Amino acid sequence: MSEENLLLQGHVPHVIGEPMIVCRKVNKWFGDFHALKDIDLEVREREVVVIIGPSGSGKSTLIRCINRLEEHQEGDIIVDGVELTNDVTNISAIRKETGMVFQQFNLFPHLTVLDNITLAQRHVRKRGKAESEKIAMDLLKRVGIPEQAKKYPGQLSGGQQQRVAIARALAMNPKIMLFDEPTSALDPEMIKEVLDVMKELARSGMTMIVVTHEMGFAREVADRVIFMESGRIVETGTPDNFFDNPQHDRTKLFLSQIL
Amino acid sequence: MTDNNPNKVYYEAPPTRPAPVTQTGVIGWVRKNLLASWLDVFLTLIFTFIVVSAVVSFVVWTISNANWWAVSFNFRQFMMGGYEPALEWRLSVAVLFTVVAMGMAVAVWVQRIVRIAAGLIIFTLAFVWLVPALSTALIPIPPVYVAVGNAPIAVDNVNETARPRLAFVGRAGETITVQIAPISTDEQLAALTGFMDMPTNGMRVIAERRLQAAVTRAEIEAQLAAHAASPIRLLTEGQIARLETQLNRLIDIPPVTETLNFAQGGAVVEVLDADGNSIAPAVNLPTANERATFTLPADGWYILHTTGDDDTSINVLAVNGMQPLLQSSVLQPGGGFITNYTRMIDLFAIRGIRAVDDRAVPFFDYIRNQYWGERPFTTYLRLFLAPFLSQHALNLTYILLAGVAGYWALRAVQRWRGAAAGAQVATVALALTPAVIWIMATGLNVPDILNLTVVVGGVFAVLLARALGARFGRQPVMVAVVGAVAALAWGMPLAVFNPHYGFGLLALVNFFSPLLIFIFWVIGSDSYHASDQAEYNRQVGLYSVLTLTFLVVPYLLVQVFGVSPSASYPDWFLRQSDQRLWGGLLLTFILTIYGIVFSFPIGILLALGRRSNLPVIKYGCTLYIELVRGSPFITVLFLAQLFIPLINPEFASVPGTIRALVATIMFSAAYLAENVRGGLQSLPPGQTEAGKSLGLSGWQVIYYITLPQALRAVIPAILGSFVSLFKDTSLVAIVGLTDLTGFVNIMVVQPAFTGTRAEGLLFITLIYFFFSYVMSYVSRLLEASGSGSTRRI
Repeated sequence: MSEENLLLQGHVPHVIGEPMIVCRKVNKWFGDFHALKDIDLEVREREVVVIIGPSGSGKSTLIRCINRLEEHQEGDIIVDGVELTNDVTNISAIRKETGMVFQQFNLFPHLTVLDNITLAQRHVRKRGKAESEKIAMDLLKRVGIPEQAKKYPGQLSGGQQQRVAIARALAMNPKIMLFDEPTSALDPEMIKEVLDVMKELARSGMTMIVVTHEMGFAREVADRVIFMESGRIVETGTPDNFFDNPQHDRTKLFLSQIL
Repeated sequence: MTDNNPNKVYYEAPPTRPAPVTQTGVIGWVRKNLLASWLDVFLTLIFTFIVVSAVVSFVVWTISNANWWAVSFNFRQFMMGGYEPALEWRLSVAVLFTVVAMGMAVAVWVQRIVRIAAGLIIFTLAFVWLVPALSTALIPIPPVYVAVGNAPIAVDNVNETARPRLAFVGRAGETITVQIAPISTDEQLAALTGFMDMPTNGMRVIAERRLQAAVTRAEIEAQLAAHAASPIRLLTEGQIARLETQLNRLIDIPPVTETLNFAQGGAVVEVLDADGNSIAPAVNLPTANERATFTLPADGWYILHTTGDDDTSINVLAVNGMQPLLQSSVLQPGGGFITNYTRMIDLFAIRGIRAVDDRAVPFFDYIRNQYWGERPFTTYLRLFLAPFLSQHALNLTYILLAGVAGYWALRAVQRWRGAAAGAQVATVALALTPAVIWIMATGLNVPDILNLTVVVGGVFAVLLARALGARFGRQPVMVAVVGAVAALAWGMPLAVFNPHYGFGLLALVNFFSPLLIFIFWVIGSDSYHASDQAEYNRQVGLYSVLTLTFLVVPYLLVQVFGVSPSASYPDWFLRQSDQRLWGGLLLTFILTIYGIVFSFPIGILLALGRRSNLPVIKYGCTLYIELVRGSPFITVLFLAQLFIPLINPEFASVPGTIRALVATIMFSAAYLAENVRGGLQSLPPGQTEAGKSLGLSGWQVIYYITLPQALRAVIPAILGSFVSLFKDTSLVAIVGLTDLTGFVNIMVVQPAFTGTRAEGLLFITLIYFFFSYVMSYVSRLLEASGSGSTRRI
């Protein structure tokens, strides 16, 4: 596929910068279950990495390890130059720079949309009320739902909730965004509105790791696609290479089943 | 007007007719709800029978047999136990403040119950004012019966003499009307009901038994006659023998009225004052139609002096205006007892009567001159309900009006400053209520103010810990510093002040301050990295100075300036009330309110502790919760009574009421912890993960995200456990405290009120029910407002 065609599809190759996330020989067990096996991964600034793979392959576990929602037992994870250890200081420093979007949105149901977005700004970033609310409203405009600011999450559709969740993560000015199957819990007609927001985010130069089953999104936006199976990275490649010319048998089988 | 449209079809609308009469209205309702099937009919009848029989016998007992003077005489004890009368106004202030705050709460949060509340208030006021007024106006006080006559009353086993002199208490302007009761036959004598002296009652009982015996005799004789007349044997030999024995045992006396020459002669009646001087000429009552009327000149003792016409006849006098008296001993504040004589119908009390002619005059005593026979409803109204209501109508009116005043005051604030300001005022008022009640009930004098200063110092120590944590982080050196500050806050006031003041707020603060200081230091250290160093330096400096000031100033006051905690300070200082004297509803409320207030934070900490990752905290909290939940409240109460002095010998002076309060708090905290833990566990783990992924610290996640949701989810459960706590406080009766339940046990020991346990229990049941119902109603309002459920995605 020529450069021209890529541009027509909207694929803007990102200007890749310094390494943001470095994983070296990361191993993770849940009890006796070996969930991640010798993961080596480097994600650079402004890079968009899409992780795909069958369920139970460790995709979510990998990105949850990156902001310490899960603890890895072996290997090193270095995020933005800070190594993830048991030190609470390092963990909170990394979490501050890492936004995460969940499959189940995980909005705070007892707070309004606006309060959901301002809570961490005020208590972690120590911003004032007016400042954090202005940032929140700007972000709500960016994700296209400024009119929902005073509502509670329960009053919003799934797609709207996920967009609020993205805005909530962005409000912390993270350097990295982690997406854990952000569209899996959505109705088909709502998937697009969320993917549009994510595409816009990718265009703006955010470093992103996206776990998803949306192959169209991966092909269009990703700089790199990673295929995982049984806790191992099986294949890595640019979208074109990965989808059009998979090397590994397991990858071929997986793609043949879902495409 | 003609309609030329050819397509129009004219027809008569089908006639409408009403639904069958058996399907609508009352008949329809009955058929549908009561008689839908044979089973329904059966169940309806059975349950109607059960309900009606229970209610009828209950109401009959309430009206005809119960002695409600037990309640009205002991009303103060039921309300506040032995609380010092001189300090009683403080309880009134606390009650009025609470009711004002509740009126404000209604105006802000539950505007929609205003109509119901207003209706209830109007109904209550009308009831408590109209019932006494109407009963007093329409129903005369029934007379008391007094035997008169010089002949000895010796019939069967009764051996009495009519008392010529009987003292009673009257008030100025009251009239005493005396009349010979129209009794000439045994039937009339047996049917006598009312308060009567012992000779009269003796005669009444004998007449009753004689008439009863006559009825039984007639029955037995009829049976024997039927047997004799019958061609077949109706009775066995044994049965005949038994009936004949029974017949022989029946008393066989001539009519009482004849034996005692009833109403054969007249009587002479005179009313003397306390010195034995006649207030009016004696009146001769020859027959039952005459009446003698005396008007009493002043409040005080009087003597009814009666003599028979001749030496052979007996009469019963019906005396209107004379009331039975209750003799009771009251402990004087200065020591010693005084004896009060209380007129039961209006609780008018007076000291003892002087002896007349060197002989003590017997008085018309409530214990010996009891009400005999069943009371009609009018008597119940006039003797019990109306006096009771009129004794409390004014206080009740003040309380209700305070609620109305609070409501309107808040409406005014709302109009003046807007809804938000109104909500703030109501919140502050409600939040102050526990403090006001505590300060008013216990007092706030010089030692307490010194105590409070130390408490404020403790608060600043907590804030200092937080600032220090934020300034220096969670470093080992700081652990030592915080530990030292905590030890100082714990040890110094205990060492310096406790020997002087005994138990106060101080010891409680001492108990919790190290824990709080540690927690706040950890919370503070969570904002370590986001800190504005200059800001935290300022805070550390400010809080250090304030902590030291507030801890040191009271020390200087006592040690250097010689402020004496034991000196007597004026009463407006709100001197300490004697907590051992607390009782009745006051004690029940104190235990409930402060059980709730103090167990709430402890319960939340226990719930969080049980979910902690640190094994020592986790299993420590689990052990405590399971231990307390695994033992009955009564055991915890006894343990608290025995263990508190073991913690520290100083605590031996802690009164039983406070020990019971500690037990209540410990017990309630364990149950609350489980409720809160249930709420925390009902939250999806994604909530915590989302909070953490945003960079919030563990404490911030708990405080801003999980705890609010968990508490909202379990509001119904928490309120339910508070209602049961309210009722469970009755168990303190077993450890010797006189709360509502405990006082019933004491009431029935009074000689005047032996056998009135049922009345007491019924009264406190109504009280418990009233407040429990209000609490569950509030909980239902909260649930309906949506606070009880989190807004789920």
